[in-house]
Order: sequence, then structure tokens, then C-alpha cells
Amino acid sequence: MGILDYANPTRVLRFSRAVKPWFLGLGLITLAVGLYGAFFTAPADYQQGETIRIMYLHVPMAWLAMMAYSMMALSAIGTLGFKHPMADVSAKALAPIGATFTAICLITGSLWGKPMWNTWWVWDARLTSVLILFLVYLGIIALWQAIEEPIKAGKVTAIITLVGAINLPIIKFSVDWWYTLHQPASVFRVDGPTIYPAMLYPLLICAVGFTLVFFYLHFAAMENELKRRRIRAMQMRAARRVAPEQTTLPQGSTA
Amino acid sequence: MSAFRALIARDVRLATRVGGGALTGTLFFLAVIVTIPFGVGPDLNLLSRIGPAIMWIGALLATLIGLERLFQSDKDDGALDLLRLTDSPVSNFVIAKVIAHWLGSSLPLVLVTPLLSLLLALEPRAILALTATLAVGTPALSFLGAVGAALAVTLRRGALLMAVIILPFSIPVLIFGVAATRAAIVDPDPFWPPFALLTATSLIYAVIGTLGAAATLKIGDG
Amino acid sequence: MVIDHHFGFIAFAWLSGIIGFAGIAFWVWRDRKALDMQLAELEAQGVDVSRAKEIS
Repeated sequence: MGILDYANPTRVLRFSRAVKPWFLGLGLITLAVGLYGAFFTAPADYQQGETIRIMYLHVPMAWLAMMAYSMMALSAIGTLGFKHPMADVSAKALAPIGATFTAICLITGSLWGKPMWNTWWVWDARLTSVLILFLVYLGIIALWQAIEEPIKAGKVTAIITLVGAINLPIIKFSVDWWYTLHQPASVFRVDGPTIYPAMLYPLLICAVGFTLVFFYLHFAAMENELKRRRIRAMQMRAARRVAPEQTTLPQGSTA
Repeated sequence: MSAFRALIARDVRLATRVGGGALTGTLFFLAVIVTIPFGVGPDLNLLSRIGPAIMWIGALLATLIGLERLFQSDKDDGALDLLRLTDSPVSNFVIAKVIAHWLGSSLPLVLVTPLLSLLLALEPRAILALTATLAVGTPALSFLGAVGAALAVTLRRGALLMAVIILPFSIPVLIFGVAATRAAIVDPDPFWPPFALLTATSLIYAVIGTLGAAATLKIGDG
Repeated sequence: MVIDHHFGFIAFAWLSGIIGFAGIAFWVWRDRKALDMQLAELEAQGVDVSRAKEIS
């Protein structure tokens, strides 16, 4: 049972309906545990005080923003390289979700930066590249809206997604390459995390919780997209029945 | 003469003709450089400090505006359809078009930069660094713009959208270009690291831009 | 837990997170409502909508 089995939308829908409530339920429970840890068992930072609590939202959002884009890039490869029918459905559903996470990351980062660095924004490498990521997300969403025909939209956005994928390693390594304001990596490092364990565990639990909720939202959005495409195909068929000379056959699948 | 060189030669000739892109781009560049000091004020010290940034932004805007129509003439005369139908490597076509565009539109900008720098009271070391960074960095913008141009020709209503998508990717080019120039002026900052990064960006964008533009062109109308 | 004097920043940060997630959830929900309305219209026109209805 490989990825090709999920080329069948009906199969994906069956899986989605079965799995969605679990993602949401487990996600909310995990979040509850993580948030309790973040606010009550984890200590305040000896330098930053309570504002460290923002980290438990800001960092998972940053991770998810990048993960969502990576998934979009993988879907893009699926569309362009393998013509996988579900790939562009997945990609289209990911764009608004990823964009929102990036926005939350930028906003929470700014609100964390003001008490910590006394500035709302600074043009250091990481902040700039995350801002670029956000703009790229917005551009991709605009592209999806601009192209009527789903198959063509899928191909064009796939290309632009891959062009923008170069931003991901830049975001990840920017804090290592340029010693500017944003702190260097403290979790995903070759030598292991440098963060205090009492903070690390709530952080990871929150991240898992947010990720599960993210998957719930992704599946829900994919279901909507599939429904939208089937409705579109039905509308075109209905129009053709009414005025066959005035309509052109739609290109591509009627998934 | 190979088809590649012929294409470049033809496009350069078309661009440098009156009404072609070259003159318009350069005039726009001039207009930007001349207008900004009116907004900023006559403080020469301030102007020489932000001069490199102004020149770079002017070059960025002038290049992006000119690139929109990069593939328009080929779409109009059917060359794009021919390209899609035959097996010719679209990448070669894209590279030829971009080189021609750079020679015809961006190179004049680079050549005119030392002259315009005098308007912004830049010192000789800055002028040299600025010209060098523009020479090395504008190819990055051209290849990036090729993707946008391919989008403009492939989408039915895509012009403004193209600018929105391409602009975020031009930010790193801008950052490195201005950083390198400023490093040449301010003594302790080394010039070569940001300049090397700028060169690397141009090379990377050359590859990604060509592949992206070629893939987009192959999708075509539909 | 001590109420830090940076309480406002922490509150707004988490508020933005809540709004963000609520926003996506609302978008998904509203989209679905709109699509179901289109489905109802099509069904009223007599089109066979079983394939779209099987999606939850």
C-alpha cells in the first residue's frame, strides 16, 4: 500500500473521514497537556522572565510554516514529476494554512521581540527570510485564485513552489551563517538540543499537538477542494446540457 | 552562426532599436535616480549614504518593468507554440532570451551607473563597487524575471500578479548588492563575502530561473 | 505562575495564535457551507450530485 493507492480520491476520502476526528481529538488533548506544561510546570527564563511563554507558540508555528511549505514542495514534485492526481489538491489546501502559520510566527515573534530586544522588527537574516516565505505563500495563493482551470493552476503553482523552495534551507541555516539578532538553533542541532529539558518537553508536546491539529485542518481543506472540483465538473456538464454550442470541454480530470 | 547566437543577436538588435526595451529601461532608471533626491532632500551626506540603495532599487524596478514583455513577441508570432510542439530544448531558448535581454537592457544600466552616481555624490570607491555589484547582480534579476515573464505569457491575467510573486525573491539580491557596496565604503567591513554571495545568488537564480521559466512556458495556454 | 509585567505581550501573542487557528477553522467551515449550497442548487436543477455528496 503505497502512495499510488492514494491516487484514488475515493480512497483518500475514506481515509480522511476515518482519521480526521482522531487528529483533532488527539491534537487538542496533546495541546492541553503541552500548554499546561508550558505555563505551569516549565520555569520562567532567568533572563526573559515570563515572556518565554511565547516560545511555546512561536517556535511550533515556525516549524509548521516550514513543514507546510515542504509538503507543498513535495506535492509539487508529485504534480510535475509523477502527475499524481491528489498532489495538487494537497498543495492547494496547504497554502492558506501554511500562510496563516507563517503570519502567526511573524506576529508572535514581533510581540516577543519587543520586550526582549526592544524592537518590533529587525532586518536580520532569519526574520527577513521568514517574511519572504510569507510573501511567497501569498503569491502562491494569488496564483491559485488567478488560474481558472485546476490542472493548469496545479502545474504553474507547482513550478513557483519549487522555485521558492530554496528559501527553506536559507531560513533554517540563516541563524548559523549570520550572527545577527535572532538566536541560533537550540533544538535541531547536530550536537543535540541546548534548551533546558523542563522547557524542551512542553515545547515538543505543544509542537506535536499543533501538528496534529494542522493535519486535521489539512484533511478538512482537501475534502473541500475535492468537493469543489466535483461541483465544478457537474456545473460544466449541466451547462453543456443547456447550451452545448456555447461551452467548451473542460481539460483534465473530473476528480 | 548557431541558432542560439542568432536569437541573442536578433533580440539585442530589437531591444536597442528606438521603442525597444533598452532605452525605456534606462530612461526609467534615470527618472528614479533623479526623482528620489527631490523627495529625500539635498543633504549630500545623506544622499551618498543611501545612494547605493537608491541605485539598486532603481535598477531592480527598471529591470522588472522591462522583463514583463520578455516573451510577449514570441507568443504573438507563434514561436512559443512552435517551441512547445517541437522537441527543441526550451531551456536554451530561455537562456538566449535572458542573455539578450541583459545585454540590451541591463548592461546599459550598468554602463550609465558611474554617471548617475555623480548625481548622488558617491565617492569613487563606492561607484566602482556599485557598478561591479550591479554588473554581477542584474543577471540574477533577469533570470528571476524570466520566470515572471513566462507566467505573464502563460496566464490570462497575470501582469501585476507576476510582479507580486517575483518581488520577494529579488530581496536577497538587493540585500547582498547594497551590502557589498556599503562594505566597500565603510572600511572595516569586508567587500568580498557579500559580493561572493551576490555572485552565488546570480548563479543559483540562473539555474532555477531557467528551469522555472522553461517549465512554465511548456505549460502554455489552455 | 507570576504575572509578568510583560503580560500584555504574552496575551496578545497567544491571542494572535487563537485568532489564526480560529481563522483557518472558520475558512474551512465557511468554504464547506458555500460548497454545500452550490450542491443544493445543482440538485434542485436535477443534476446527479451523488459523487459530490459522498464527500462528508
